[in-house]
Amino acid sequence: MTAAIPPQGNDTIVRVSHLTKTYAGGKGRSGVLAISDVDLTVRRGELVVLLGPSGCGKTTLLRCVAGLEKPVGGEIQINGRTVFSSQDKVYVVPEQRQIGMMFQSYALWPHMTVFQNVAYPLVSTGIDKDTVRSRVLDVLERLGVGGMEQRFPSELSGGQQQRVALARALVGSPSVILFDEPLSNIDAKVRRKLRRELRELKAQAGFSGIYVTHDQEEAMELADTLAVMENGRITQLAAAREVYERPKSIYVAEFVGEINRLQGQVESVSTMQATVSTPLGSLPVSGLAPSVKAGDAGWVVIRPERVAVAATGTLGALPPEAGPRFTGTVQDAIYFGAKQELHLDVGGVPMTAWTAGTASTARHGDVVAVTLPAASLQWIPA
Amino acid sequence: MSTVLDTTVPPAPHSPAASRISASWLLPLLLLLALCFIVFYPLGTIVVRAIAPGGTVDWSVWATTLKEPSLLNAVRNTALLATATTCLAVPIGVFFAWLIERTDARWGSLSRLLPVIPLLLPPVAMAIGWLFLADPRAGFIARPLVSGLQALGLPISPEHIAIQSWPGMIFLYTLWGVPHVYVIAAAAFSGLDPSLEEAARMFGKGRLRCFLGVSLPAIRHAVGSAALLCVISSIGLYSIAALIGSAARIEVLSVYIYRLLHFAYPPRTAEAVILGLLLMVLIAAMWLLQRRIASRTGHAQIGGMGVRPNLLTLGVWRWPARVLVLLYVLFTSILPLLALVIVALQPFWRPQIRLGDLSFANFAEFAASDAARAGLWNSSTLAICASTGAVLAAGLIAIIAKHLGGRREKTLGVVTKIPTAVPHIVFAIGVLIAFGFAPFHLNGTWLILLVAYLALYLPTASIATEASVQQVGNQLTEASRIFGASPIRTFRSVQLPLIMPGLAAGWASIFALALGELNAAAILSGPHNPVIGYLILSSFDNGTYSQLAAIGSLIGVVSAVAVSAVLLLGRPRFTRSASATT
Repeated sequence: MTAAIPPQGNDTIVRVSHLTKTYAGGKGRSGVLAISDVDLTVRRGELVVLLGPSGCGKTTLLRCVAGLEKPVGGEIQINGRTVFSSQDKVYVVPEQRQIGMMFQSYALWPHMTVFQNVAYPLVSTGIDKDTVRSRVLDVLERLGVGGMEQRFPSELSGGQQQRVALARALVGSPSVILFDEPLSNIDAKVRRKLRRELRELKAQAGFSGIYVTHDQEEAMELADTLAVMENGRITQLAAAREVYERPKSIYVAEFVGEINRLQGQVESVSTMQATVSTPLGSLPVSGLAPSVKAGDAGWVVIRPERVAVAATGTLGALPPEAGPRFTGTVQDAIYFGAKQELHLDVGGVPMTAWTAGTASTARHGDVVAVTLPAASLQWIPA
Repeated sequence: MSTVLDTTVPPAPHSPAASRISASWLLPLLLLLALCFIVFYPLGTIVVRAIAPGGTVDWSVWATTLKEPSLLNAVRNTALLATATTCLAVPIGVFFAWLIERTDARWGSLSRLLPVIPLLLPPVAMAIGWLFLADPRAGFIARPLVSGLQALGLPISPEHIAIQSWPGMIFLYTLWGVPHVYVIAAAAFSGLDPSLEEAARMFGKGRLRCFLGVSLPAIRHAVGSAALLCVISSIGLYSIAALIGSAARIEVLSVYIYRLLHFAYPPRTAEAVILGLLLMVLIAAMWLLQRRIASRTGHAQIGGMGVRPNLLTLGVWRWPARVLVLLYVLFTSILPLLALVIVALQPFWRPQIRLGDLSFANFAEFAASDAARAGLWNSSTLAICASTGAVLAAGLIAIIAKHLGGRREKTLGVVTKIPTAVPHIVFAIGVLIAFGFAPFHLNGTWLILLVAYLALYLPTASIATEASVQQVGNQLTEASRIFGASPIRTFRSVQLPLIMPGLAAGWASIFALALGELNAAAILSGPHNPVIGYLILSSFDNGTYSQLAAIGSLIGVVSAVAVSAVLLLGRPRFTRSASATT
């Protein structure tokens, strides 16, 4: 029944609906559910990042879109064309989906030169040789690997191989490019550089893509939309800022960045506001969903950089935000340069706080004043 | 139902590609059926003929067969030889593997292939070579040694150091067995985490203690598997036993079976078949056990010849260790080949070498004989057809198996290795009975040899191709499909070029092995369809040693060329990325 798919505008490039994939188990074992009932949309020029720990199904989802795995249920459309549908028994093989992909291992063919590798997607498309040549050289130039077209992949550095792999993915101007953890094999410094270049390239070329990674920082840097995955499902799908600032579940909150959590129960609710009883006493929380009611169990959370810390007795130095105040003891102070991480004991509750590295002089054993700004406290239901 | 989400999600049990090529499955399926026919039909024939000849079960032949007094002798000799060979070849092979894989005794990646070289020199050439080297009266080494010792006043008789003796037989069997052990042990060592040994060294263990206490136990399954393989191969070996054993009057089972067929009139085929079946069952049982043990060693990584950090430094022992390995190559390959060439160039075999006497007269005489020419022609064409056929079939099967994946891949892998579990001579009897007479009437033809060789060399081809197909990472073929290539273009431009070196190496080694093949040839070849193996046996029986040397050096040189081809072709050129999968 195709009516389940709403009519789509021109700017939807990939539409995944109710996608389910299981892996057949061995004899006597139940099958393994890799992704279940996933919906995902990629609009023109949008890069959606699938973020999650290994085994959460993010790579399987990507491979289903590529056609390298055959889902058991649901539907996938690329550029308005149905490439998989369990109901209509449609399955389009990968080579006919007109997509580009970057693999985790570079997957550059070792017996071909850089030129042959990058020209591969263009060869059987009926484009004349001169055009192929100029397009390949152009994309290599644009990616900073110009002049290397006669080399073999084994003669390139890891970063250069990655650029060639990206060139190969871009050269055919595919409707969507899939990225399967393409930066996980490179050392941290080159990785940051390539990430920044990828952002610039996207701004220039404006490609649409799905990007799989388990690296939270990478995800936030690249994502127009961030999809956090857990156990084969997308738990939250939103812009990176919203995912960070308004996590939907404690899983998302903890996977994306660090967070302090206090178990609690809602005491009373009044227009979007609530009072929650926690080990630190009653805390006010605002910005609630309308469904929250008294008696609900959950967590009050706050990001470490929102916890305000000041030396005791210097009340004037306290930040202007209003909020409950406590006294804490510094258990450990770690200097990171740009920031300082304080591990605090606040009334028997462990809490992490980040302060600016330039300002703080707290040491182990210091007693400090801790403010939890009311605007930064959030309620996450269990 | 609880859905289990494992961190290691297994790969897809079947790739979408598998279902797509279903239309073109007819040819591979037919090929598979044909292969199964030539592998299983001879084996089935042996079972049927041994248990129920002519449709009725007759145990009286079993009684005659087993009561033969000389059989007990042959069994005892075989057992003794297999045990002695295993006891010597396993420690030496494992030690060499450790030296070359784990210590700085290795020099360059080519040194890893040194101990394997004898595998590609036909055992028959080595045996004849050593006959020329160590015959007590005319051997190039034995003669000067004996006279030297006698000159020193030692009361030594030439018989004491004859190669045609128990120690001589065991010596040759061991030289031949070491590479088989080495291959398995080297693979296990190369997959071993170096930090195990580093840790042992940190705690102040010596180099030897480190080898005995840490490295060796870590690969004990591989050692067990190698030992069983060694037993299996020495029981089935015919060529060395036929040449050296008969001169030493030491009869082993393979030679005993051969005699039942060739030195009795009428041929005692029924008895040969019964012994063949017993041998087959025994060896198959050991083979299954060996596979079981081998599977517990896990998948040793053979690729990644690139950087290998932290080899154990041997210090002053480095060069002695290298000399040891070189001596082994000298003993197994260089000296025998040299002896063969010298005798072939001499007018007749004598221990003194006079440069003026040397000529190509023997080769000319050899070339003038019709039987010899026919033999050369048959062997060459057989070797070419058998290696091409076996490699193509094995390659196709390996690619299909990889597409299928999972248990079906495993099953196909085992089926192609089954001929390993049957001694060549027994399999040849099966082929003879199955195809030699009605309705096929192939006895005495070129084709019956081809059928036997295709089946016998299928495991060798299969091992070579599987390794190279595995080496091509999945993502390389997936990338090709993503970028719009049809399965046929993917095969042509990505898979084939990458597995080609492996296929070529497999082809060259089968070519060399088939050229000097003696075991199946002893049963299946005759005056009507002579091959080199048959020529060797008849020259040996006639005592025409110069001719024997000419043939031996010929196959030796051809094998040496093939070895070089293997070394050149098998050299991995693209490892860095080809093995970079996940």
